Amino acid sequence: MNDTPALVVDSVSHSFGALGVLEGVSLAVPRGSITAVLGPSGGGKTTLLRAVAGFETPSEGTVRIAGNVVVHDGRSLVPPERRGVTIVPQEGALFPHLSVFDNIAFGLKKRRGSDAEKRVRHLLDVIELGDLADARPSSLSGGMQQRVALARALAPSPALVLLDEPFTALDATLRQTVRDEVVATLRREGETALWVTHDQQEALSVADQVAVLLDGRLVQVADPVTLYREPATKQVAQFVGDAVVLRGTVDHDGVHALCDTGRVTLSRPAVAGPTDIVIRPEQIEISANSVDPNSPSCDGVVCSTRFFGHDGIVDVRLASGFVVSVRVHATLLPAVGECVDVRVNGPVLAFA
Amino acid sequence: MNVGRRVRVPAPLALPAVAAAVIALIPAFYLATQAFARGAGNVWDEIFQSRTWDLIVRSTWLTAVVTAASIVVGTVGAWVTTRVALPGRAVLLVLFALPLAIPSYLSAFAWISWQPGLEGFWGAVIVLTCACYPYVMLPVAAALRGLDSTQEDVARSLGRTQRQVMWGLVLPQVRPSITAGGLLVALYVLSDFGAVAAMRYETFTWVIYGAYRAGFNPSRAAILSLVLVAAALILVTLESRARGRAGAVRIGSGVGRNRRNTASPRAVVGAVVASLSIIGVGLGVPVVSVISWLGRETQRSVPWADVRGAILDSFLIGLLTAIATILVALPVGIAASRYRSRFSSAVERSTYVTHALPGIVIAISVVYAGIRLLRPWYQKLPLLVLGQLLIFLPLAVAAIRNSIEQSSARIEEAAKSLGAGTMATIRRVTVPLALPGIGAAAALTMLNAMKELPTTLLLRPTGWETLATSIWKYSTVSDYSAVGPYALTLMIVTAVPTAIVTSLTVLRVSRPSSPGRQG
Repeated sequence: MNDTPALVVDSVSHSFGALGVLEGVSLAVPRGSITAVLGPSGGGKTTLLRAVAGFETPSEGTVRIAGNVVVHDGRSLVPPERRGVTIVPQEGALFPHLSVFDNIAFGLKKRRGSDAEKRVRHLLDVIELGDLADARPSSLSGGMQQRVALARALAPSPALVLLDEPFTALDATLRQTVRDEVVATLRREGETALWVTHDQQEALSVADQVAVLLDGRLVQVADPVTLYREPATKQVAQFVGDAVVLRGTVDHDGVHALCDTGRVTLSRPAVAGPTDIVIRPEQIEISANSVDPNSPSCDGVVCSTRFFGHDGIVDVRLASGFVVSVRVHATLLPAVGECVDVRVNGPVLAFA
Repeated sequence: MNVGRRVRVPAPLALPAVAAAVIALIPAFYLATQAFARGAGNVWDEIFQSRTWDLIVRSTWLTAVVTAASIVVGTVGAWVTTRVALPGRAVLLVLFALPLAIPSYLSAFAWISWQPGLEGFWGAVIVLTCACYPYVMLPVAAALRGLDSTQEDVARSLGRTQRQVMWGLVLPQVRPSITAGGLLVALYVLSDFGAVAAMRYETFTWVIYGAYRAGFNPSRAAILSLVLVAAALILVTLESRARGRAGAVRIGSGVGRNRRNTASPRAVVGAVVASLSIIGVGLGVPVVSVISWLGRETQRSVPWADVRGAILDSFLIGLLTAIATILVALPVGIAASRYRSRFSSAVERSTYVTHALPGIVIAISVVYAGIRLLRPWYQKLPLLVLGQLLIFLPLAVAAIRNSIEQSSARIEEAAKSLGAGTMATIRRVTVPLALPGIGAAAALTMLNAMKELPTTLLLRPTGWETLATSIWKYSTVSDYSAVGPYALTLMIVTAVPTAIVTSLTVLRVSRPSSPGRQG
């Protein structure tokens, strides 16, 4: 196995006029892996993707694809068509004048002949659209179009596939199914992919590695579990999942802290003193307590509840007056005005 | 995401685009040379003559009256076809648009043969209004259809009457379309040669033609052309600005949902009366006249060989013009839509210059160019095709550009990421996708070339007679029985495609756009 990364982005910066959109972005995508670039819209994700694909030339930095330098210090050395990088755009962008078969065959060096036929048939089977080879893209559903767009991108065996928020055009129920199919296909074919998304659940569930891009800077690159459990900054913590942020004080031992919910354990040592404590809603557990809501031994009072079916959110006003949101099983929804005990399970994060 | 992107137009595209721009600038160049041939003093003398001022006053007056009349008729037509619950409104819209297909010289002769007393100002007003009101009606109808009907519901729920909604809410929103259409009408009237010539109402184009034909004073023709071009330039500038604003109305962003059309008896009666008058005046008179000419034909036999020859000549000229125009316009359209830069927009603008040049002016400048530069082509087919090409180039470039912009640039990026180079992407994706639009532009060019009069009259090869020149030849001597077959053929040839195009546009507007984007 060759262990040159499929993609290396080294200190890439880019700006549109005075507006900086990428600042010193560095990232390596190992072969056969899926890397998600996660960030809010306007965070520079699409610019990064277009810089890799060759539709944008970043003003500084180097991009290497399969070891070859394609961009260096503001000059594009290899045009998009010779980078070996294919894209799956947001809305598929299938060629409407070509059949499904011809769409998939578009990027093959030889589009006629038995090899091409075999390759396209294989991909049609992989995306389970074997019987729609002659269909026009306009007759396909959004999900099918997206699968064809993926097959088209995989056909020429690219060094890297770029997926640009590939499912935003689909409705929520369809998105999950198509996403699973696409990930399964990428895995089965051993493809390398750079997947741009603003959806943290999507990023965490599909990727081997997630790169968080906030305001044009890569704030953290890590595997999904590490990213969620040990985010580098408070901003990342809040971006990759729901978070309850409380003011607190780190003990002199550096591994415990005191906050509105009482004494908590830190997931990593911190400097003693005032701090922000970040708790995931699922770490907070509440249980009914029959004491008078006004008594000092009451941890918190339920001030509102929201019912979602399988679970619900309970807003609890702590003794300090601070309101925290807690996720609970739907069957355990307490009544508004009730007193509850509040407990924090597991270690929490402190950001000074 | 085109902000700040530096793009270079690839050489295989840039070279033909530059060539197109150079060709498009020929008339302006020769016009200026010819006008200043006797020095700048002569230019001032010619302009500040009292007969020149007379001409300016007459042209302005005609333009103003026709524009006002077209705005009224066009807006009423748009309102009838979009807001009144009449059966078969789509057919009505097509019938209303058909006068576009009838060349102004033909309907002018039709009116004169029926009412010889109309010759002069009012005759020109009637004929030009009939030819021009569709330019107001079509965009206004589109704007009316594009308006969000919920806005009107909201206004009604807030206590406004139907009338108040119409004047206070609807009209202000379609006003940009009315303005843009009106300016287009003014431009048409200024450049029209056929109607004013047939009606013998002396405006710029007619006098320029006279000065050219008289032959002794070519620089006067060129100087008058310059004045006309200056006026046209102002109109073109205003029009493109107004069109920009008209685009801000949400045209085409969907079908007005649940639009209730007025079916009040007064509105229906008014609409029926308006429709009958519009169709009667715009379509009825020319059609009936032409048919009556055919009736007179019984007295002598139709020279079928001549008619067939004119049809063939017209088709050949139309076809060659269409092919040449598309070939020249294509690189410019692609560069302007996909490689936006200072270079490509300069090239595009150069091809729009001829838009401000009336046909008769282009014809005369091509004659000059032919005598000086392209001597071997003089009075041969290539020079006529060049003249026609110059007239229709702006339309073709705009149409090609639009049809390319219809498809997403992302599709071409996908092609490039799949390994197709710049020219391969143009060949395999850009052009095939824009093909319907390119085809429509070619058909429209061919159609217009077949009925075009002044350029054909001046530049046709010796011995060639097209449908247009035959109509002209016999009508100017009032030999209407001889005109019949040519006129009928030309009407059929141009009316059928116009009807098809208009109904397609109507159908497309009332159908959900961009199929296949959502599952």
